[in-house]
Amino acid sequence: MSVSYQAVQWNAAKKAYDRRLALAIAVYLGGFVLAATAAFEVSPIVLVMRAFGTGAVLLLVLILSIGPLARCTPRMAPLLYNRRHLGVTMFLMALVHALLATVWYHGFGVLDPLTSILSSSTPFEGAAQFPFQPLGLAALVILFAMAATSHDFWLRNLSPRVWKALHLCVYLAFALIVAHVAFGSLQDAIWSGYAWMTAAGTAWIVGIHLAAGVKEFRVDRRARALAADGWVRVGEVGEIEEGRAKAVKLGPARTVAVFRHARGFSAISGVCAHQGGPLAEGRIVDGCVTCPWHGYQYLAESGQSPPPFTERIPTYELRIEGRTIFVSPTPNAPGTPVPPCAAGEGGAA
Amino acid sequence: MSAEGDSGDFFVGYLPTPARDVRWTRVFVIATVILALAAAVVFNAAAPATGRGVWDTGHEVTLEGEVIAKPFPMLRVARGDGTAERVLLVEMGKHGADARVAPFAKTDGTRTAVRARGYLITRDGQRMLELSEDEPIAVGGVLPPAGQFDRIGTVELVGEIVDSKCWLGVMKPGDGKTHRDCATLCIRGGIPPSIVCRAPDGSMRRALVVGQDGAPLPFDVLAPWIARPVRVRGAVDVVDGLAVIRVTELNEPA
Repeated sequence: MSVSYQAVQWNAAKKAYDRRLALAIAVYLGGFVLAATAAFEVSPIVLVMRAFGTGAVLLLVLILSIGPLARCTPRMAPLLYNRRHLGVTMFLMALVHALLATVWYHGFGVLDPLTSILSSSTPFEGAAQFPFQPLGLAALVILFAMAATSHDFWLRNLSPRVWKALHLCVYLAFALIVAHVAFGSLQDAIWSGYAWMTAAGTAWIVGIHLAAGVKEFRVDRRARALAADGWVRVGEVGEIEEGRAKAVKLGPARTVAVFRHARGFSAISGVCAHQGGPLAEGRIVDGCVTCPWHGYQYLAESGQSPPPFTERIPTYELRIEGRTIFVSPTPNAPGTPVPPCAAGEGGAA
Repeated sequence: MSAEGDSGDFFVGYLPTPARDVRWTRVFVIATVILALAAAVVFNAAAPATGRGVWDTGHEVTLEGEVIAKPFPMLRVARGDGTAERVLLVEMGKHGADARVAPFAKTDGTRTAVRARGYLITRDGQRMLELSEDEPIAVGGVLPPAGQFDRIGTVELVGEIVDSKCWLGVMKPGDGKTHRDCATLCIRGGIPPSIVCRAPDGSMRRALVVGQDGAPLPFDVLAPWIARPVRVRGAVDVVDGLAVIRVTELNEPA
């Protein structure tokens, strides 16, 4: 959140994050080399290629795990916070793997390397013969597009919708990489443990996304079942703790976060203007609604970021009947002030 | 946003991290690294053996003997026991040495002795010489004794077609599907193709692959069969210790 663009908005948490990431990668690469030298001798370039390739895949599994896990526990927030650095690092590791493979396997010959990649594996006869390198190349192209646009500059200029759609292609890249592994190195493996490990990693990613999806679906279904009389029932006043919110689903792509704060209850869009973070899982910090993903802040009564910041999100009318909170299904324009609704007032502001 | 503030146990990146998050993150990262290292062990344990080939790029050697251009460039070198050995000649990179060797090999049946400089590639007693870049072949030296020729007869071999250079030790591994594109590029560039198969005693055996007429097989004929399980039928001869199969059929193994 800033009023001007900076290459990276460094802070202590991001620096610590990157230091630990670099250390973890160094430990992994060192451990891989040790494990490899304990097995059969391989060419040094192949060794480095394998270390970076497997490291990139494992990092991608971690990256794809963080989102769903963060839906299940707020303790994942520190890992989620700087996830884009993980993504760029993963792309760079994949790039090292790809460059070494290109030079080693496709260089020094009578064809230029790119022609060799796209023409050498000609037989399309079943899994054992299916060419795997074009699959890796396609994944790398996607990862490059994501890494190159992994900055708020592109988020703003591409629009959040386009940017989000582009970055959802990570799942296509993951599928291509699984196929790259399955049709590539798995075909040469002499021990089924590698195949089981690949299957387990894929099942883990699918499983936690399904689990997170089921959790969301249950919340959505409950909210729709309680809709009545044009306005939507949020719940009882006592259900929402001070400084916290409750999410209400108003449509397939519309969520409202109803916050309880020092001045009463306020409803704003549940989607952060930055990267679409779930504001209903945020808290009131320093008097502002604070997004759990990157700490973007909004005033609960207006949906505006506190000056000098300029982000705005829609607000919603609330009314309290007895002890029950209802929210209007119609959003106000982003940044429209709505006086908070105090418990016991018994009507809309 | 705010440089200071109290977020309690709620993580905000630009505020001090709650102690519980610090502990949780530490445990999660350590567990993740341990899992990743376990995955590295599994990956390497599943990798196939790469053989005992050696590509000695640190020592340039000079071999002398009779130069042969067909079916592939090679040098007949005298052994200490009075027999001869055939050492395949290749260029650096993924290139055969046909053009380099052709001017030295006579077509009228005259034997030519040459000295060839380069770097040895050796696996299980079989040798190849990767020629140096700057005029590596010169006329001179001693011709080896007459050759030994053993006709084995028609056989069927089940194995994998590889490029001889990588398999002998330039690349580890120099076989398998992950190496297929490299093998294809090597063979396209003139590196002699071989079939390698596992003998009953577990050792790997190699035979140079040529056409029925003794000339190299056209690349387009061979390309679909490179680095995949293949059954090769043909007549095998052993010349100066080098097995050569004159291929009549290439099929998928039963």
